[in-house]
Amino acid sequence: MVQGATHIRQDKICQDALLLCENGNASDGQVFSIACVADGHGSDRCPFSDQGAKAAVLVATDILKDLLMNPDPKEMLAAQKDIRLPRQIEARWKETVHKMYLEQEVETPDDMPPFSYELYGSTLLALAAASGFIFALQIGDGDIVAIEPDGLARWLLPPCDHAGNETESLCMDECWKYIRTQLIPIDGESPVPLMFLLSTDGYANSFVESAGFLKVGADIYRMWREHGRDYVQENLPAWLSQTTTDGSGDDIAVAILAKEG
Amino acid sequence: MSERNLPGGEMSSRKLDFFWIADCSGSMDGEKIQTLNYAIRQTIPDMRKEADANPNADILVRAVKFSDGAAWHVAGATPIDQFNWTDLSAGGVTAMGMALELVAGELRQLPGDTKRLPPVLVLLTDGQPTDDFKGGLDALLATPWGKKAVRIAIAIGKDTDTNVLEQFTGNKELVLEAKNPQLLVKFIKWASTVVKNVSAPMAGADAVDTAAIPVVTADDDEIW
Repeated sequence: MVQGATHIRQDKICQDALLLCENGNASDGQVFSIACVADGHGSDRCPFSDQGAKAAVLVATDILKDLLMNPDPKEMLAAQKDIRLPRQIEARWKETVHKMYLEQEVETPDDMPPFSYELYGSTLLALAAASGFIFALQIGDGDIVAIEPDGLARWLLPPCDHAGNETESLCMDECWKYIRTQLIPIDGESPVPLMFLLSTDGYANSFVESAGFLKVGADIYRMWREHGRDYVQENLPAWLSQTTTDGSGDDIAVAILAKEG
Repeated sequence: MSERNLPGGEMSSRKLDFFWIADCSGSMDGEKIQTLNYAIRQTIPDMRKEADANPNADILVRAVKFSDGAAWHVAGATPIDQFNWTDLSAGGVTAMGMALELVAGELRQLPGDTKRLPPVLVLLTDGQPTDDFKGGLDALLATPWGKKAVRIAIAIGKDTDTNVLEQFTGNKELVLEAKNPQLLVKFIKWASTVVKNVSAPMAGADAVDTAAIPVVTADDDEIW
C-alpha cells in the first residue's frame, strides 16, 4: 500500500486500508485466505475516511472468517451472499464507525462535526479463497482481477463504470443493496485462476486504457512465476509509488493471492 | 511491462476539462467586456501554477463566446500551459442556449471513463437569454458529463436573470453576482481556482469550497 503522490504533496494521510488473513490449520476448520482492501473517500466531507477504510477491512475479514470456519462454508456463502451477508457488513461497519466517532468525541469534543456515516465513507473489496471455491465481494470502485491459466487477466466482478470520481460507498443508506458478490465453485470442470489481484481505484486510474491496467495482473503473475514471491513483494511498493506519481496521484492498496507451486 | 519497467501498460494523469462560456452581447460592450478579458487573462498564471503543483491532473481549457449565435473562442482542449486569451469584443443578442448546446456537443465527445475528473463550466453573462435557453440547458444536462460538471455562473451587473443562472448551476450558491468590475475580477479568479478542489483524487463535483467565494461587502458599490 502506498500514499498517493497528490496526497503526499497536499500533506494528506493515506486513506486506503489493507488486511490479509490466512488460516492454514485444517484441524480447527477450513484452510482459507482472505484479502481485503478499502479506499476511504478522502474528500472534505469525509474527514475520517481513513478510519472508515480500516473499519471496512476489519469488519469484512471478521465476518468472512466466521463464515469460512463453518463446516460447509460454500453452502453458507451461497445462501447468504445476496442479502444476509451484505446486510451484516453494512450493519457491522456502521456500528463500528459510530463507536469510533463516540470515542473520538470523548477525546476531542471541540473538533468533531455532527455524526454522519459519510464522515467515514469508504469502498470495500474482499476476496476469500478456500478449498472448493472462491468468493469475491465489492462495494464502490476498485478492481478484483483474476489471472487465468493462459496468463491473461480478467475482472472477477465487473468494474464500476461511474465517471468522474463517483462511487458507491458503505456510508450510503441501505448500502447492502450495492454490495456485489460472486461465488465461484472450483469443481475441476472449469480452469482455476492462478492469481488474484485486488486494488483500490488509484491503480486502474493511472492507466490510459483498461487494458493497460489488466496487463498489471498478467505482468505481476509472470514476474511471480519467473522470480518468485519475494521479488514481487520487495518490488511492489516501488512499482506502486512510481505508478501513483506517473498516473492518478491517488493512494493505492494492492493485495495479491496466488497459488503456490 | 512499461518502458519504465513497471507492471502494466501506458500511464497518464487524469484529465480535467475547463470551459469559459462568455457572453459577448451588445450590452457587454465597454467596461464589462474589457474587465472580463482582463480577468480571464489574469487567471492563466495561477491556473498554470496549479497545474504545476498537481501533475496528476491535466487541465484542458476551452472557451465559447455567444451573442447572435455561439462559436468556439478557443476550440479544442488546450493544455493550460499553451492556453492564451485573445480579447473578445461585444455586439449582438444573447444566444445562451446555443452556447450550452455547443458545450453539450463537446461533452458528448468526451470518453465516459472513471479516470476523467468532473468538468468545470463557468458561464459569464450580463443579460437574459434571447434564444431557447431551456433547450440548450436540457441538452447539456442530458450528457453524462454535463450532469456531473461543476457549473458556476457569474452574473455581471444588475440586469441578469439570476433564475436562469440558478437553473444552469443547480445551486444558488454558485451564482455569483458581480455588480462592479472589482467583484467580476475576484469572482473570475475564484472560479478558476475551483480546478484545485476538483482535481483532488477523490473529490466529486460537489467538492467546490463555497466558503472561499469572495464575499460581497457594503463597500462594494453597484456600478453596473
